[in-house]
Amino acid sequence: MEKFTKSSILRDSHEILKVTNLSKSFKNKKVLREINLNVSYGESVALIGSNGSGKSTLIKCLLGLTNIEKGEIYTNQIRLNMKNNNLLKFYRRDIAFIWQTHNLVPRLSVLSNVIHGSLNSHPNPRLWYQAFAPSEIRSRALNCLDQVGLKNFAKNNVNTLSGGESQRVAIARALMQKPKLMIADEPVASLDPKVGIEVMNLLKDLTLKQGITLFFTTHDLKHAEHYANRVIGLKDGVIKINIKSKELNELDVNEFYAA
Amino acid sequence: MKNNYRDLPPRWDKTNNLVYFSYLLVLLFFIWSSKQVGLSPLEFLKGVPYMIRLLSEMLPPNFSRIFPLLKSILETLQIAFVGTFVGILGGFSLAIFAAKELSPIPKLYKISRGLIAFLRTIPDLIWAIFFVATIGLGTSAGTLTIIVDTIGFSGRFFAEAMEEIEKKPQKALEAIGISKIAIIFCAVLPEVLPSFINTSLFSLEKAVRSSVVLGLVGAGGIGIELKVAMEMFNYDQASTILILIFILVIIVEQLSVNIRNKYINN
Repeated sequence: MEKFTKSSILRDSHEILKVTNLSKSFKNKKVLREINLNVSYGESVALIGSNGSGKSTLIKCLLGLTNIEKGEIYTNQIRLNMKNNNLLKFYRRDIAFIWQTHNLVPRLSVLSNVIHGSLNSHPNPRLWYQAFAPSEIRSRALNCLDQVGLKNFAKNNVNTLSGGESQRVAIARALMQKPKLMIADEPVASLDPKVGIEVMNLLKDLTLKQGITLFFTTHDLKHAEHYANRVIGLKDGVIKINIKSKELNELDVNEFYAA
Repeated sequence: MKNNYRDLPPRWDKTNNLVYFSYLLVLLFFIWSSKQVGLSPLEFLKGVPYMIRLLSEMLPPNFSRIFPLLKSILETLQIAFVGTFVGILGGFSLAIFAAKELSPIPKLYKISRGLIAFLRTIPDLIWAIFFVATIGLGTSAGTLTIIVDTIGFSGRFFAEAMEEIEKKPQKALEAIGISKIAIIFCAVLPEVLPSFINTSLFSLEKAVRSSVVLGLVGAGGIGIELKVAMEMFNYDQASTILILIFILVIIVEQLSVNIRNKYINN
């Protein structure tokens, strides 16, 4: 891999995610103000906040999908550097992201979509379509599909899947990355409550079993309480709540959501 | 309940007089232009007897030279097919550079857009004359013409299709940390496939029609036969050629409709 300056790597840190003094604005409107945030290896953290609180912007910053104005982000001890494409690719290698909508590639098979997850660590054109992929990769993808309970769907076209199935395929694609950190932006917001719970359970079980750190946003406080060890509340671009999920109580929450 | 007409929104958006004036200008321009180009029912009626005479000379069609003509129409189809195939490959490659945000080399965006526009601006007949003059009479001039014309035609639609698709699947792959080229093949291509098939089929239909005309300037195919037949007043032979062209165009269009139904509507 590329040469790293000393400042690009944070050695012997207990934190998989370390955000310091992160600020971001859109057209003179401050969306994030001096955010400081630490997440330890193996934790499960829920990020709550009303619409427009800056949740999605924070997530985009963590993934390097939008420019950072000020501050630093380290994920798995690697500093986010958006100036260099190769460094950015390397930074993203250990992070899997689950979007609000599944964002699978339409018209391709389930298997091809899952295999795409390993294109960061194996940038091999054979992985573009499942038909050309090496057997080892195909078998690993099938194994990931098995973990989300969709082993028999490998050859199906993704257009034929239901919302819940699609989101599970997206999770399988994320597992294919062998991530250290799984970030999810309202992963079940587009699903009905019952399927939403199934998908949340799956996310929680898989990350727990494989030692992956889970960082997700949600509007559902029950999910925050049930699926996270810690809850972080963002309001007007500032962290207002940062407590263990057991300590989450109604009074604080009502005050937090009040205008 | 009493009807309250006063609060109803206006039926028409307010327009200013300038807009009415421009409508009037367009109408006047049409009337003036019709005069200028000589569009008159009288002129047409005067021509009718000649049309009837020409048609009567065309019928019945003369099939005596059917075999050389069939060979010639096959050649036309081959020019169109090879030209479209190569042209589509060229159009696709150029379109990647001409699609905003996708272009692997953003500096080439404007240049590739310009090149596509340039290829499209020049009519196929002019390309044919150019190639006949430079590489000589025959099918290779015709095929090159179709290639160039198809690059211009399909390149534009390919680029636009790539710009218009849903961006989220691409973003999802970008977040994984996948190279731009891989994203084009993994996400963009599967998404634009129906539109590509559609454009490619239109290109083929267009190429078949223009390869007929190309023969008129000596770029191979059935066109030259039509030209000779018309110039030698062999109208009964000309009608045979027209029937063959008609059959070819219908077959290609039907085939294209079938393929479209099969791949795009499901």
